[in-house]
Amino acid sequence: MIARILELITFLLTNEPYRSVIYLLCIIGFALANAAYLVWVERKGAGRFQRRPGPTESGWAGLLQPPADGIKLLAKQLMAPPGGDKILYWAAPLMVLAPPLVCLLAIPFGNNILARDLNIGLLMVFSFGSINVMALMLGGWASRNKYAIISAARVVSQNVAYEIPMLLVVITMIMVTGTLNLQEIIVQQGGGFWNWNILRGIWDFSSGGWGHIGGNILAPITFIIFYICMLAETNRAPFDMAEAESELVAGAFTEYGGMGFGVFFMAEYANIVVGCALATLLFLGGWQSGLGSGFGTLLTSWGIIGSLVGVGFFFAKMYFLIFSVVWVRWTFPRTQFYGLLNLSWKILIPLSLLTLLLTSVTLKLPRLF
Amino acid sequence: MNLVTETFSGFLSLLTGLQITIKQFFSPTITTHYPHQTLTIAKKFRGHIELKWNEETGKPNCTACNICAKACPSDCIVLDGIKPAGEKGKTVTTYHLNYTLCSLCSLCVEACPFDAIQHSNRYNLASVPNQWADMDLVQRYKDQVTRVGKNPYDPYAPAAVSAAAPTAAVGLDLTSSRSDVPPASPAAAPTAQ
Amino acid sequence: MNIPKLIPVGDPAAETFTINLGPQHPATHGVLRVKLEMDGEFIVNAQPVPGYIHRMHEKMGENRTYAQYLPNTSRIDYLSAMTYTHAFVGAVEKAAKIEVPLRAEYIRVITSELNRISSHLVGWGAWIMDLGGFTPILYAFDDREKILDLLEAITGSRLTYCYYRFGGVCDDVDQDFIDGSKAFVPYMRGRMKMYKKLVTGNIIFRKRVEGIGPISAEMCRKYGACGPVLRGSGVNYDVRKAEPYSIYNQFDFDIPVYNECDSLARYLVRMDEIEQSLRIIEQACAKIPEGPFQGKVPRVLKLPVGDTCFATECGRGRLLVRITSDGKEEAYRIRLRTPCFTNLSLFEEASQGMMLADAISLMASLDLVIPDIDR
Repeated sequence: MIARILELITFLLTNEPYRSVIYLLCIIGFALANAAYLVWVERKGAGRFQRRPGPTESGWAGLLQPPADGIKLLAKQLMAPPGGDKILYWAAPLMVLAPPLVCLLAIPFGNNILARDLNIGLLMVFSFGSINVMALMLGGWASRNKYAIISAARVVSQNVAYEIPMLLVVITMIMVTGTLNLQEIIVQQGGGFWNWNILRGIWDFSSGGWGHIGGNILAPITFIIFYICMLAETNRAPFDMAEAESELVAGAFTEYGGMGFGVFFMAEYANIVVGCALATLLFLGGWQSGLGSGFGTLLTSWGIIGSLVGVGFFFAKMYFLIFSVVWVRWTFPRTQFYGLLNLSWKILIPLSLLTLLLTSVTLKLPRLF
Repeated sequence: MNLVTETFSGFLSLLTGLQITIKQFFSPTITTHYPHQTLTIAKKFRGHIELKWNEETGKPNCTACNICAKACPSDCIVLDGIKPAGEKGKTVTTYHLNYTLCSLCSLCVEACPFDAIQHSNRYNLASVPNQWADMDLVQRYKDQVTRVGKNPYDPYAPAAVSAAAPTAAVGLDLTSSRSDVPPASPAAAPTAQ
Repeated sequence: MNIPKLIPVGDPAAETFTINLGPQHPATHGVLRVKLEMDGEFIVNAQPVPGYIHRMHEKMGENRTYAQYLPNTSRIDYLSAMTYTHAFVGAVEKAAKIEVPLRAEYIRVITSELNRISSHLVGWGAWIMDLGGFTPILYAFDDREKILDLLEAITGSRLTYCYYRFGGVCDDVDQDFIDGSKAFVPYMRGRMKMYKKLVTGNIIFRKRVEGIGPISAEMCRKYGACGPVLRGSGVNYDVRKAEPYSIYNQFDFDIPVYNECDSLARYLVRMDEIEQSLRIIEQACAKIPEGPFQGKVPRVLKLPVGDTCFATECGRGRLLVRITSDGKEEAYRIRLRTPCFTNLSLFEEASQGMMLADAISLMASLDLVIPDIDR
């Protein structure tokens, strides 16, 4: 009986129209569920860091708080500010939620569990990831509000500055992995956790024996640079210039109320999910268990169940990174605007260029041993 | 070189900060989960004033001398009293406190020469102002007395009847009758999740 | 940091726009409106417009007897209510030559210093909150809760205490309060260590305050600034040492002074002041004598004709209370020279050419309480 169900599931997941539709629905559901419940994680986390319980009244442990907020936002009147550009004003929330959903299509959640196995998956994720800046800019400009315009200008400047080190770092990793195909990148990180890209760069054991220099000996620093750039790209503290609450009230979202604001809010969390998923699969081994190649072959022999276990590992790592994003937000104050740009142009870009050069040298060096 | 050391030490300071907050994360919460839990009110807490219970006479000590009304900076007290037949002094019949004006300064309590008023410890008075802003303290006194089963105080009764009223042989537990604070029941409160 | 050349206002090539900061704004610590003329991100001109919470405290002094004015004194600057009441009762006692027993003086010093610590904690927490760190303010409020519980046990109030009376205090303190204050000192010292690691050493915070908002001693002198603003600019002036009142000359404490004149200097002055207040509390709790807690005050208090001034060091600076009496029960005029009013007045000149976020940080470093400005 169970075997027949598994057979049915495997059939659905491998044959074309059914497969795409199921994946599409699952991804939309996943992204929206995450967007809604990451708010709960953030509020509970914020509470705990501040020694208070966070939401507790709606539902057990406040779990019904996000639906309650959603209903409240849906019930509000949608108004565009008079004199602003109405088309752009309503286009901005639409443009901000679509890109993270598209990026999730290329991300492999488990072995054989991904919506589209693209050979240029990484490139696609990054090209769609840059669209949310445009949406914020449009939203800020079309609101006809001075605070919003200041915020939109800041966001564009910040995102441009942080795209560069992010892409340099990713290029470094691509040089090491040799491929843009996300599934390939994860498969290469098989074996123990020492084979994950964050550590494999320093010393590579994957080809057996004593191993050799992996390529990017500054891999942990590369990971930190990627993490910082990810925080800046998603406009999270300490880089949340876009909605610097104490200065600009709500920045680019000042004039949005009701579901318009709700959409921006959800898109922020969806972006965080995409960013952390990328960090996990580029540096922390994606769905690899990290417990050695023996365990890995065991999981492959379990077929679809094994893939789901892989999904579990992926989620564990991704949610740990998301928790650390919340942790960083509630610990540090905001950087100054020119401090943010200084950090990018004067520190991160030289560092990532250095990493790039160093990696290209070590990759061309004759292999030691 | 300065930039390098600054970056390095700066990064370390960030890690120190993270370490402190994660320790706070795993520490218990310090807030009180009102209304499931309440705090005990300090004995000297300044709530709105109320007439004191005099155990011997069964009447409030207030003689409607108006010294408290004169001492009040905000003019929130309006008094009236009558001199019942056969009594030596006046007794209060209406004691109107406009709580929206009171600033809880205690000048009235200190000014009273007969030790007739004290602060209550009611704090959870949030409601529509019409319901509690204009307090009739004599009515409150009567309610308190009735609540603990004593004969109601009647300022208009002649002295003979008042003297016949059973005096407080049993001490009146003013703490329980005075406050509207729901008793703190930590057992019933849900633990903070 | 390179600040571009300011385009003078009135230049047709100038593309400035006017933006309103407040009166409803998360960062202005009250209802303060600041009209900012901005050139992009830079402030060309900043005009504070106070008066949104003007409650006519000075006028109320003319219609009330001296005793009836006591609740008012707590509400001018609600965060340092004890020290403000101290100034007023000090002025009346000076004029009417009322003796204050020693125990009452000790109680006043302990409560004033506890109040000062709680005021600095709010100023500190609110400053970090303005900079975007929403956690330290809640840790500060946890400490403040301990202070407020101590003070509630003796006064009955948590924020606007009406505890001092002419000639002393209105009610005695019990041994619990002295023990609680003694226990509070090492607890607070431990917390200050944590705050140092969490905030003062944090590179992001340092970048936001180091070198930002320079206020020279000359500017302070021009505008009459006082308190931590003045001591952060290198001027060693604290009313408790310069014009000693009460029994402060019997305690051993230092006045923190920093010469750098930037926001970090003002921050460090406040942090060190908390430590010095803890020292005073320690010494006072050890030496507090037995005795009466209120001196003799005439039933009907009338001050002799003339002026009396009394200054105290409050959390924000020097408060001067000047009572002009014409022999009646009510004052003829009560003048309150409040610290925040003068501290705010230097904002206009100090914020020229700054970026908006830096100006917000500068305003937070002045530690303004708006009702203090408007009275």
